[in-house]
Amino acid sequence: MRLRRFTGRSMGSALRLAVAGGSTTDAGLAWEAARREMAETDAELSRFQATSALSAANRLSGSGAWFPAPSRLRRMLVASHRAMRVSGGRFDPRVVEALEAIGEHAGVDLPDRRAAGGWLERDARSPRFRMAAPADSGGIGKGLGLRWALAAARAAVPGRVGLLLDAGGDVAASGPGPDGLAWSVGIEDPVRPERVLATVALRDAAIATSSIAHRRWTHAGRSVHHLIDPRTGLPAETGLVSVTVALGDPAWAEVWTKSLFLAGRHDIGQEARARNLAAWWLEEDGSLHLTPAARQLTTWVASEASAA
Amino acid sequence: MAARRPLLHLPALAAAGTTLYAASLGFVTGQQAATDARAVAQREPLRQAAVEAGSRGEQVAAAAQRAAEALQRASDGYAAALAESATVDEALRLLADRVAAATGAAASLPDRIQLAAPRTSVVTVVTQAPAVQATTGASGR
Repeated sequence: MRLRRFTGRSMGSALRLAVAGGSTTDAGLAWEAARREMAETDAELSRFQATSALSAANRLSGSGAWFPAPSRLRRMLVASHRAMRVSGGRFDPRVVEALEAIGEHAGVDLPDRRAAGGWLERDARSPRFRMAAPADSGGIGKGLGLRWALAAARAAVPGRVGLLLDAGGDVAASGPGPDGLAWSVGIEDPVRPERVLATVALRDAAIATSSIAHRRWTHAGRSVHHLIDPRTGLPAETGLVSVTVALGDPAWAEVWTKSLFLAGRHDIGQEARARNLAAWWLEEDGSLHLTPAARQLTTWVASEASAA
Repeated sequence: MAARRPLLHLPALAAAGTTLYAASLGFVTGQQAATDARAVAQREPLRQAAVEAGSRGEQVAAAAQRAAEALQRASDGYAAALAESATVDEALRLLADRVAAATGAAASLPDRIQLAAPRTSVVTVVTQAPAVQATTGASGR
């Protein structure tokens, strides 16, 4: 089955689409639909753009004022709120303040005021919200963008055409791969990204990774990274280097990679197994671990191949 | 001519006699009933004693029957244990024979033996990752 590839950029990272089968016109239509949806999501949910709906909402946070939320922002806020509850607070969109505090500035001013009570309230009579503190769309925003972009691309081509959409390491698949079966996705070694630690068979599912190996910088004389532990407000030190989760939906795959990362080296296995998640995690000593659900999707593991 | 006197005394005598006989009969009957009751009352303890003795005899007979059955079972168990004991004795005897044989064989072994050099071969397994269409990793790349 012929494979066509497209490459661009969106939401601050590379955007790639692989199309298996179909005509050249089909592939072009799928790419255009996916790229347009990602761009619109970025324009609405980016905290790095002063004109985005999220930035407008953040400016009103803590004031007690209600703001109208367009469709994507509304869905992002509701999903984030649910993720906070389901993850027991490990996933928290309010870490935007901690990120700003350690130097990841979005270039968009945030108000200093904070309101008491819950983070998010929804007007019962209209699609309006008010927030007690500003929010970061972060990984869940990218995951939602990937969900919507893949759906848009899917709608543009016949069902027999396979699609693999990759937004900076978050990957979602729909339909068959080039061999007519599943798509093959590699889990990068965060220390040597040109090398893969394992390969995964993916079909009609998504896979996402949270890692502290790359988005690092120095702040106040010490090395910091972007994975903030909401319990401390500081970059998480968990004994883990990266966590990968495969799930039906890319937004929730993102939520669980962060939540499991913050569970830490000692608890991640038990929690991932209890939730029956397909999860792979790399510990600081270089060992790769995976859950039984992940084993079912895994087609190759570097450490097992080298031991053979 | 002498006038005939009516014979009224005859029925009167007959009635008096009948009455006297009935009273005598009632008295005698009462005496006999009283005598019978006394005799029955005097015999009752003896009757009770006879009944109890019969019951105890039955209990003793049942206990004797149970004891006989238990004795039979114990006898059977002893016989069976005796048979197994004989089997174990035979197995121990065979084992003793084998130990003796093995001890003799061990004593006849040489102190050192020369083993043939092992044949070795080197197998190189080439395992490469299957082709992938995308990778998941550090976000933002």
